[in-house]
Amino acid sequence: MTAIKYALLAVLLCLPSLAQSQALPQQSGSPFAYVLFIHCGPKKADDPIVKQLAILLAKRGYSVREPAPDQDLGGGPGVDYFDDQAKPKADEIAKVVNDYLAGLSPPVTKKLTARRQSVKNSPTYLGVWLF
Amino acid sequence: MTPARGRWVGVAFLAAVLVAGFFTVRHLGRVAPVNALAEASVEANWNKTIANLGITPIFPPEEDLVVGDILAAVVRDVDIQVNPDVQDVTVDTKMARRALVSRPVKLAHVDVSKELDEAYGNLPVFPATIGTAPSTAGTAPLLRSGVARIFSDAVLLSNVPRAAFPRLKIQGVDNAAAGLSAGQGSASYGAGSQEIEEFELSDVRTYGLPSVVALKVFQKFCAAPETSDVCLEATARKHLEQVAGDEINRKFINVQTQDYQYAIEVQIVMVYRVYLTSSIVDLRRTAANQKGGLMAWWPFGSSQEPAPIAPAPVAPPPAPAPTPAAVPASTAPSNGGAPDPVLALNNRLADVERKLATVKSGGTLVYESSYGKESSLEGKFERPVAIGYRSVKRDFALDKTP
Repeated sequence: MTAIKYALLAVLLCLPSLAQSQALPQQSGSPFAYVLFIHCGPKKADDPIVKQLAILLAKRGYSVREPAPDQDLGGGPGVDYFDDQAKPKADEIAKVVNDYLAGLSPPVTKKLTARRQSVKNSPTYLGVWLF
Repeated sequence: MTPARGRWVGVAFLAAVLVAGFFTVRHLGRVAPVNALAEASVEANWNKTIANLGITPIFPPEEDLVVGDILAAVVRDVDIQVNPDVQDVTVDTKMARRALVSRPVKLAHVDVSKELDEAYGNLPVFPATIGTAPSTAGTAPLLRSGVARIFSDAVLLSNVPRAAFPRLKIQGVDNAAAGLSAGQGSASYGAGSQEIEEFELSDVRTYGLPSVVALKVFQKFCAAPETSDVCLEATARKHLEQVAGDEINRKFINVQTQDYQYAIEVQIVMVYRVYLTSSIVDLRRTAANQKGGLMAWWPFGSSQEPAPIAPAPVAPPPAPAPTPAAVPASTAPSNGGAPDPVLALNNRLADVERKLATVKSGGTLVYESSYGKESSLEGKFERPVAIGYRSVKRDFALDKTP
């Protein structure tokens, strides 16, 4: 008997909460596109190698910003992501870039890996440090 | 079926009816849509309304926007990969929404008073009174001087051509209420929403140049060596940086052209027609309210007093809430006023609470939530303010070398 009382009470108490959850906009749960920030230093954005890579990634559906001519001298090449949900995409981009760079002549030997960054940023942003 | 099992079924049925009734009333009361509509900003609402009238809006309305002004304006953000309707807004989407709002920056002004005099010099006029200036023959006064439009001097506001805009008033009220009573308790819900949109421009005036004349003046201005820098895209971006921030210079790779292009498109325009008004009423009010009460006596108790008479279901909603015409905006409550059905529901719940006081063993749950938002832009002005304009634009392709 007591269980029934509690169950009924729980249902009743949930009603206002359900109302609030419906009134507020949902903040997550839908797919979103990724924006890539390529850092191509020491090369420049108009370098054919960099530009072709940007086009390659854009054709895969990413929004690719004009590459910036800076370089991660401490961490080296890598794909920075800012949310755990973005790790698969970061891995995928690292593979695409590694395959592309390996096909160059001479090939680029340093491999990009996905790197979780703790700084607060949009979860859809990915930083691609090439060299 | 045993009595105990029958109670179980009854309890389950009651709970199902309560939950279903709750959401049905909420749906009929249209509470959630009101919350969504209230999110738009005053600026966005204003721009949308003016744009619907077929002219480019300017916010806030200002007095010193005149024909001949050279403006730099954001056109759109083309680097949008995210559906703006999706709720998980990214930084990019926020930027796009902001960029789409028209916030032109004034770069320069071209004196077009001579062209305006020529444009209006030969237009027919329909004076209400006879003019006071003597004719060249020195006998009868000229009729045309009753509607003097000499822009190189000054033009009386009453002589500026009129433009008529429709008065817009939209009001929607949705209310729903329901009640349920049984031997072991009662429940009642009510939900209501109110949405009012009122837009009125009084005594709208307009003046301007023919588009062909305006384009010729604009091209001449951009071709002159001393002013040609004003018409460059780089100039527009530099000055729009104050509005859009560093993002104004953001580029992305365009797959079609296989080249980098600006994400935010800008343009430089010259105003050739301005719309003025001396009175604005732009009122938007949304309100939503929901309230409910549940009262139950323990269905399995054995030492209860007999349950009192359960409250009757809530009466259907009466007449809609008063219109804004009946309630001056300055004295209306900020939440738009509680709709009548909600007031009735308040009384109903108070009745429930009174009855509960006589019960020795039982429980009650009462909740209420309300949401209201109002944006208002109202005023009468001594001199007219510009609410929008039409313009001719500069083609940046002309700046590029072949």
